[in-house]
This record gives sequence, structure tokens and C-alpha cells, in this order.
Amino acid sequence: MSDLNETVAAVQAVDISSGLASEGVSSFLAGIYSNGLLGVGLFILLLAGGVLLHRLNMDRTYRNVAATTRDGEVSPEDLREEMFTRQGSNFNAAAVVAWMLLFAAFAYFYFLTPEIFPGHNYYQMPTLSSGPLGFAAFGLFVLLLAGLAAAFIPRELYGYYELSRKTKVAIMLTVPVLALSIALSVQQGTIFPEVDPATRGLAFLALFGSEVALLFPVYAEARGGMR
Amino acid sequence: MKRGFIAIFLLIFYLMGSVQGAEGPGGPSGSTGGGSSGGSAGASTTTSSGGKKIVKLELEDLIGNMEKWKQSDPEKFDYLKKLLYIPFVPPKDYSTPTALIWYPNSTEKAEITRNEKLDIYAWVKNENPIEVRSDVYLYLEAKGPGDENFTRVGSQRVILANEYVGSSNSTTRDWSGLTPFVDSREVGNATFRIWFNDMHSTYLTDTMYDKPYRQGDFFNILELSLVNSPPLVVGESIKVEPARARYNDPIRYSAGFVDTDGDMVNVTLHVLDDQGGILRNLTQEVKSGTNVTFSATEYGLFGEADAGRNFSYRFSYDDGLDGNATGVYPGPSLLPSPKIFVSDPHVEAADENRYWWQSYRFSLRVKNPEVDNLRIDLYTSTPSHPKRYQATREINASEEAQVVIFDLQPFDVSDADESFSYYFKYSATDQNSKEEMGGTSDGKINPKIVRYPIYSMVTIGNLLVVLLAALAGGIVIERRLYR
Repeated sequence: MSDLNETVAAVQAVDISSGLASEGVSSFLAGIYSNGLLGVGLFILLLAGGVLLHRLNMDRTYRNVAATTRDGEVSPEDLREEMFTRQGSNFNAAAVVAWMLLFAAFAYFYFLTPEIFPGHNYYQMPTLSSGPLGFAAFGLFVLLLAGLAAAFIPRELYGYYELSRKTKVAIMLTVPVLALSIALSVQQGTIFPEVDPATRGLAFLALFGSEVALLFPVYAEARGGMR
Repeated sequence: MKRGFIAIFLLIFYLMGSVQGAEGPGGPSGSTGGGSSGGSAGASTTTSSGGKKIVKLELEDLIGNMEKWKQSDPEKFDYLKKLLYIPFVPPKDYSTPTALIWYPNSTEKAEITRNEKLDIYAWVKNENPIEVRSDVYLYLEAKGPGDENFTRVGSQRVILANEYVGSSNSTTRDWSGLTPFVDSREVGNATFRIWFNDMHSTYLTDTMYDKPYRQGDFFNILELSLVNSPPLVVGESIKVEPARARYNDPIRYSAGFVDTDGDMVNVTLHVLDDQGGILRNLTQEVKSGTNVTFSATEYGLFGEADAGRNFSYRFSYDDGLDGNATGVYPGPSLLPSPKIFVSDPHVEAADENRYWWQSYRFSLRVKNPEVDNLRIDLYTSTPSHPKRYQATREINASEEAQVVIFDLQPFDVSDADESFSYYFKYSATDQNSKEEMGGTSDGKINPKIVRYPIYSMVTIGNLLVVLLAALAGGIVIERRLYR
């Protein structure tokens, strides 16, 4: 009997501790996603980190190649040309779409409702946002801006790395994940001023998970290089 | 005085001789008391003493004779006067008193204004011994700008022989608080001098000396400058209240005026009609620093025929020397006589949710017996859209009250979670002499900002548009830039 009691108590303790842990994670997540400056800063930091590491990766590769070259110097441009690898049309198209959707999902998450940035959001343009095609107009506007950057980022980030099949799949899977993030953000807009923390948290995870996945090859190469 | 006593004494002496001569036959003609005896009031009294008759002449009798002689024989009377006149001869060593104007702080006070109270003194020095001195009578005389002659200001001052003080043998007399030019209509030189008489002669300080005298604050002739500052209007005090009123309301024009010289200010109100022509001019005189008020009711400025007209006004003002005028100010606007009767402004949302995208029904009850094509405009006000025009309705005259309804969607997403007000503006005057009536909402507009749920075709369509656009963009970019 005492064994049974101990077992029950142990199970309850595990339940309580796991509940507390999940609650702590939820509140931590809510603290991040409801903090607009923190979220925007994190998003930009990840991007900037990716760009910086990519540059370091390229420099390191160039130094390694230059050190092993006996008959003369290799220019960085020649090396870039030699290193460039075509990743396939489907992947490239998916990567461009993913990057465009990444920026769109970011805009939908932080700038759709007045909840996070009350003075800077889509509803500051009431004529647009009062119409039935307001969401689409907002998204198209962001895509137009992001399209310029998204057109070149995949070529630069993925053309100089060896991408495994799993990595490619992960990158391509960010398209539906980001679409989900956008849909969840729109859902948040439709219920505003109410807030659904679960939906909000999921949209946040989908957004930042996708960003990490899209930058993963750079970070992975940098990690390998450091080793 | 001395000369008078001497003359009377000689006259009595002469008359006594005449009386004595009357004892004989043919006494001087005209003597009334000459042969009378026995005393009675107003007549000579004759007494006998030692065989001589002594005539005691009464003063009344003498005066009566003199008057009679003056009438009956003026030539002889004049001759008599010549005989009796003995001119006064001052002593050999008599010197004329010195009289000057003393004006303390003359440098600082060289410029004076009309209302400035002047303190001017006469300083007189008499170096004659006291037994020779005579009384001195003084007047202050002034000549203002534009005046041809001096006039006396203040009253006479007298210095008796024993009133000179100390070893200086001088004394002063003052004319304090003088405002001799208070009514002057010009500015310019203001001149003062002293007129005085020492029982021997009359002197004027501006002419009695060989050359002009000025030493410190002492002058033989004091020349000051009479200046003037124009009055000023206190701009913000100019008003007509109420600016919109019925013709028989107590409308009051007012303005404040200041004159640094303290002059009275003549203020004229010019009431202008709606064409800018002068309708009436009204004038008041006010003290500097006070407000002038013209009451339209008191002056009967407006009548029933003026209802609905817009008037304007201006003030002109002066202090008698300098003047100015204000600009033209609008007002009052007289309200027209009521043409319509309005009541029950009301607003109702399509349902109790009160979303911004819903229809709202605004209504106003109007009784309009005489105005055809009465125009009624609806305006709403929210923090995002203050005084936003919504729609217009027109109604014709009717004996029955009409309910004017506006059924519309007046708000957008920026009005969510806000209170709102509304008002109807109409093209005729209502029973309150107003041309608008409105109200406020009972509660806020619902804070929900998105009209469509996530599962609606509109939302899904929006999402699909975005996703498909991204997909198409990706394909196009890959084909154009990656091959």
C-alpha cells in the first residue's frame, strides 16, 4: 500500500512538475512574442548573424584555398565562381517563396493588429483596412517590398553550401509552415481585441522556426568551420 | 490809502471854508446844508461858539454833495479832482521788487501734458527797508499753444511788507496743482509769466527785465512744451456679445481704451450694415483705462427687420488732439426668426454589437410648415474623424411633423473602440435660433476591428491571394534570375 501511495505521489509530482514546466515555457514564450521590440530585434539579429556568418564562411574558405595554392593566387571572384553550386529549380523556387513568405509572416505577426505596435500597424490605413481585400493588399504590399531581397538571398545563401536532402526538405517545408503562421496571425486579427495565446505562440514558433531553418546551412557551416 | 485820507481831509477843509463863506450873502450854490440849523441825520450840524458858527459836516452829506456836483457841474467837478489829486512819489531809494518764476526740476518736467498738475512758484525779493516796502499782488499768467494772449491762471497771491524772510529778503508764493491747458486743442509751446503790482507800478516778468533770465529752476519767463500721447485701444477688449443673437437680445459692444496722459477719450462706435455702410454712429466719453459699453437695446440699434442680417462694427477714438480707429470687426449676426421646429435626435445601431462596419440609423423629428427644399446634413464626430460629413436629406414644407432618417455606415476601422457624437445641420433656423442639433452615442463602438471571421470566404480568399502571389513570385524570380 505504501508502495502504491509512493507511486501515486511520484506520478502526481511528475504531472505537477511537467505542468509547471509547460506553464513556464508558455509564459516565457508569451513574454517574447508579446514584446514587439524583442521580437523584431531577435528577427533582425538572426538575419544579421546569418549574413555575418556567411561572410566569415566565405572568407575562411578563401583563406584555406589560397593557402593550398602553389602556382599563384586565386581571386575571391574566381573562387566564388568555382564554388557556386546549382541547387535545382524546384528548390530555388521554393526557397524564394519561403523567403518572401518569411517577411510576409513577420509583417503579419507584428504589424497586423494594434496589439503589439499600437501606433504602427495595418489599421493606421483605415481606408485600406476597412475594405474586404485589406488583408490581401497588406500582404501584397509586403511581398512587393520583400521580393527584391528574397530574389537574391537564396542564391547567395544556398549557392555556396552543400545542402543535404534533409536540409533541402526542411527549407522547402518552411513554405507551408510560414503560410500557417500567416493564417494564424490573420486569425488573431479577426478575433482582436481578444487574444488566443496558443494560436499566437504557434504563429510565433512557426515564424522563428522557419527563419532558423532558412538560415540553418549558414549556421551549420559556421559551426563546422569552428570545429 | 494814505492818498485817500489826505484827499478827504483837504476836501473837508475846503468845504468848511465854503460853509463859513455861506454866512454872508450868496453862499455857494448847491449847498444843501449851508443854512440849515439844528441837527438831523444826513445834514450838516451848525453850532454857535463864542459868536462863531461852527459847521460840522456829516460824511453822508459830503458824499451826497459830491454826487450832486458830479451830475450838475461835471467840469468843475473834474477841476476839483485835479486840485485834490496828489500823485504818489516813492522814496528816492525805493527799488522795485525782483519777481521770478520758480519751477522745480524744470529739466525733467520740460514737457507737460494737458492733465499734468503743475506746481509753479513765484519767488519775490524785496530789498527795500520794511517801512518803505509796500504790499505786492501777484498773478500767474499762461499762454498756451495757439493762444495770442496771456490769461491769468490760479488766483491772486499777496505778499505783505513783513512777509519776507531772513536776510535774503525773499519769499515765495505757490500755485500748486494747476492744469491750465486741460482744454487745449493744440500742442506746442506753453509760456508762463508773473504779473505783479507793488502799489506803485505794475510789472510783467517777461518784459520788466532787459534780457531773459534763467538760473537753475528760476525764470523770468517759463517756456514748457505741451505734448500729447494718443489714446490706445486694448485690442483684445474689442467685442460684441453675444456675437450671434436675436435682434432683441441684450447685445453689447465694448472696448477698453487707455490714454497715457490720462485724457478723457471720445469713443465713437460705428455700426456697419451687411454691405459695410455706416448704419449708426454712437459716441461716449470715457476715462482712460475704463471700458466703454454701448448697449444695442438702449440705443435701439436693431429691429425685427434686421433678423438674419450680419452686421459689423468699428470704433474710432480720440483725446481731442490725436485720434485713431480700429479695424472692422464682424458681429453681431442676428439670428433669423424660427422657421422650423426640431426634436428627438436619435441614433441606433443595426444591432447591439455596434460594430464599426454596421449600419446606423440616425433620425430627427422636424416640423417644417413653410420651407421647401429644407436641407438637412448629417455629421458624425469620432477622434479619428471629427465633424465628418455623412449625407444630406431634403424635405419640403408640411403641416405634419416629419421624421428624417439617415440609414448608413458612418464609421471605419479607425473608429473602433471609440465614442462618437453626431449632429444634424439644417438650412433654416429652429425654435432655439440655432441651425443644428445633435447628440452623443450611448456607448462606444465595438472594439472588434475585422469584419470577417477566419473561415469566411473573404478571409480565405485574402490568404490565398497572398500565398499564390508569393508562389507566382517565386516561380517568376527563379525562372528569370536563377537559370
